Amino acid sequence: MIKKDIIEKIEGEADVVFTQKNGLIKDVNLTFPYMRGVESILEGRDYRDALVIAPRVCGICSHSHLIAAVHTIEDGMRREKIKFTLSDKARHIRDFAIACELIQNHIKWFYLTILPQIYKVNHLEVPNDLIKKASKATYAITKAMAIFTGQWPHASYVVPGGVSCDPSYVEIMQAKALVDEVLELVRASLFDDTKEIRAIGDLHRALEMLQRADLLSTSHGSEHFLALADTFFSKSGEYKGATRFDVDIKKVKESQREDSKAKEALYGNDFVEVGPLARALINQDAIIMRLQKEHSGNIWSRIFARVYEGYVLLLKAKEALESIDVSEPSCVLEHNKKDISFAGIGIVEAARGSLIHEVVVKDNHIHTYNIITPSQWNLSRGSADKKGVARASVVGARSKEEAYLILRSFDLCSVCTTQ
Amino acid sequence: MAEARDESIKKLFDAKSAKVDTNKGEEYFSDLYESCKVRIGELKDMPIAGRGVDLRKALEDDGFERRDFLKWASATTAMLMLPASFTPLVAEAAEVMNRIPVVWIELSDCAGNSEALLRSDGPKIDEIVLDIISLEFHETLQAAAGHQAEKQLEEALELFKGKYILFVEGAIPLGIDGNFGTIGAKAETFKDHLLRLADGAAAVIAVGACATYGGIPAAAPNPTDAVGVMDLVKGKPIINIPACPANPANMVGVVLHYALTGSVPELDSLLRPKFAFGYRIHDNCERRAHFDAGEYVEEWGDEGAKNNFCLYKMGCKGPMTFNNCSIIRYNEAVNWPIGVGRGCIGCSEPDFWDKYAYERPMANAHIKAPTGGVEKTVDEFGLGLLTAAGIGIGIHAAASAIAGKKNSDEKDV
Repeated sequence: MIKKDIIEKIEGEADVVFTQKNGLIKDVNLTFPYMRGVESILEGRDYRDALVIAPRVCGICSHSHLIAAVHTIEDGMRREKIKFTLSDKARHIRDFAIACELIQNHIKWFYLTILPQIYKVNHLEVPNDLIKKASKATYAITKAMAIFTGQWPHASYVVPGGVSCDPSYVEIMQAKALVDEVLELVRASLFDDTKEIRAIGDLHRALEMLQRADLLSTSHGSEHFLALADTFFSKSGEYKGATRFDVDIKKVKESQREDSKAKEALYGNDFVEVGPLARALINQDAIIMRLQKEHSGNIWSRIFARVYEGYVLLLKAKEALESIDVSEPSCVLEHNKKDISFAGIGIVEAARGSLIHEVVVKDNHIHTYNIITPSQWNLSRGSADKKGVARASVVGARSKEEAYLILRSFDLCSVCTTQ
Repeated sequence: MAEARDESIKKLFDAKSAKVDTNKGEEYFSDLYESCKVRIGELKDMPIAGRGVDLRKALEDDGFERRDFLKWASATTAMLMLPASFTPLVAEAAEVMNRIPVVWIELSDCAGNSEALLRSDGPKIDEIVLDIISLEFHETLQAAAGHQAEKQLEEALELFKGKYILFVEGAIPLGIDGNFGTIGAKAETFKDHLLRLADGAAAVIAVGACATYGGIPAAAPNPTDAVGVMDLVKGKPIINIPACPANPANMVGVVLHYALTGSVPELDSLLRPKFAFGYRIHDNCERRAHFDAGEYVEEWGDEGAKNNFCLYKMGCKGPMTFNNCSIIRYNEAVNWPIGVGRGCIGCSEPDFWDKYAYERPMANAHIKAPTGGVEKTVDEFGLGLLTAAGIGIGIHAAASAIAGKKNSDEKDV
């Protein structure tokens, strides 16, 4: 029997149609009945307007879009030999803000998206203090970020060649105290890191419930992973059959689906998984490699990898703060107001995976702008023989709630996907 | 620090320089006081709406003392432009806010306002006060999803018919018969969904740039033919809380005002509450002294930037943008865009994506000032601003025809 269903809580809305046979999920079709047309809104404008408009693609990962937008401009300038120097200070400040946005996304996703669904699969009542637990950490980390970015969401402190803020040590100390606050919360309810990293508290409870629901014995994973950006916390790469390869941006392909307002993204001719699990495997992170082996790509390694990345990023965020030398310049851009033409590409690792912005600028005006968002990779539909990543992973799920849990483990963001 | 901030907010809003009429005379305020008392009494007798939470308990759970709460009430009273004698009433109103059912819907948007409101922003007690409102329906926040959520919404609509406040986040795309945005298993268009929910609402609050004026989706060439709430909903009190994202403190202010008085706050011609949008960013900007002294940032990273000079020449739109972010700030008041050396982009004004585009100084932005013509130099511009009542008024006058509502009428809801 085919029944139309809707999935929400994936930050926006998607239509979900499950096909079931003998009680098992046989297939799923996700469509997005929604679009804004941000790419076409960008066309024709001053290229610097992208720094304000592109973040508004998504209120959930707005900072990643901001960084991708500035990378496209800086990449274009590099190609055109327009001189600018990104100071270490500017780089550390940007990295710190990137880390903060990912941390808040990961924590929020765990408490508001995945944990409630795990309770549901176990037919248990969802505790009503989860929002509070999440918000304590997310308030603190976005506050730390706003010290440098002015506000979150929709910050606009980044300019080509640097950042516009010029923090003092007092502000850096303030941010550090906030990061420590979050680290303390994470150590109290997610990880014990005194000897080796171990899931405790809410994270351990998630594992127990997955065990109880018998979700660890079957695989809901993919075997082909991708991370396109080299960042301060992860390397780029393709991971297939337990081997890492270098990436080639030319292999990225995009196609329009007929039945939905979303576009599909492929690497070569393959559907690939992007996100924290992909990054950890490509970086050969010992803990995640071991988990992946033990649990052969089931839902737990994806969940653990994402929460764990949040923890790692807290340490990286502190490092970035400690590395800021306030005497360095915030922004060095020698040209400033000349008319320029360029083509540029900006790639970042956002919370849910690789995000690409691509621009062609003619005499200061945007000729074309193209955006490929993380959920486009994981959500690509594919065909009956060659299914997209999320689609393939729900096949065999024993109930709709179980299928929702698997879909949500990818944290599909429809806001980004439909732009 | 929070204490000092609350005090300074109070001072700023009490200041005589405020362009909004805050002194309506003793008689007016004593009448208002009495009617508020009656209103709160009525609310107290009502049961807590479906999902409301007890404020005292919520505050206690989070370690706030009564003293902190009263300090917050005193600052909020000032923010709402009421005399200090209203403080106990404002505190009581906050406690009975859980009687007011709220339905929150997301249309064509980026979810940024929900993010700002519910997880990342606002001074602490504001957040808790917001937590206690009886949020009957919110897609992202509630535990239910899919069909279950739809059922929950329908039940809330029926149960609280004529009583709930409808918060709308996001624009409404009208192109291809509204099919750029549909909701639910029956694929109801955003337009039909909004009109149906607005029909049973006591008041409609448009939150963020998209819901108020169409925002990003409506920016040229407006690919989906997107419009704001006030372009569609007729015959209901509408309150606009623009900005991208809207400031949670202002959302609290509006709900609180409604709890307190049973009416919508005084609005400007664009249906924005005057307590929040009665001033320009420029009026209370921390860099204002540098504007007056003619000290500007001329290029990113220059000496002016290092010394926190005025950002006007870098395209700051503070002089023509009505909003209180220079005072309220963002993310628990830790900072705001001008605080990090990036000018205001004018996000609480209509069509700002097209008219105010960001790095163009206002002098080149082709915006008509009330003094006539496009301002050519900073000196001329400064003069115009200081002598005229403010450049924004021209824009307001033009827009009031669309808004269809005059400045000071307070509608009973």
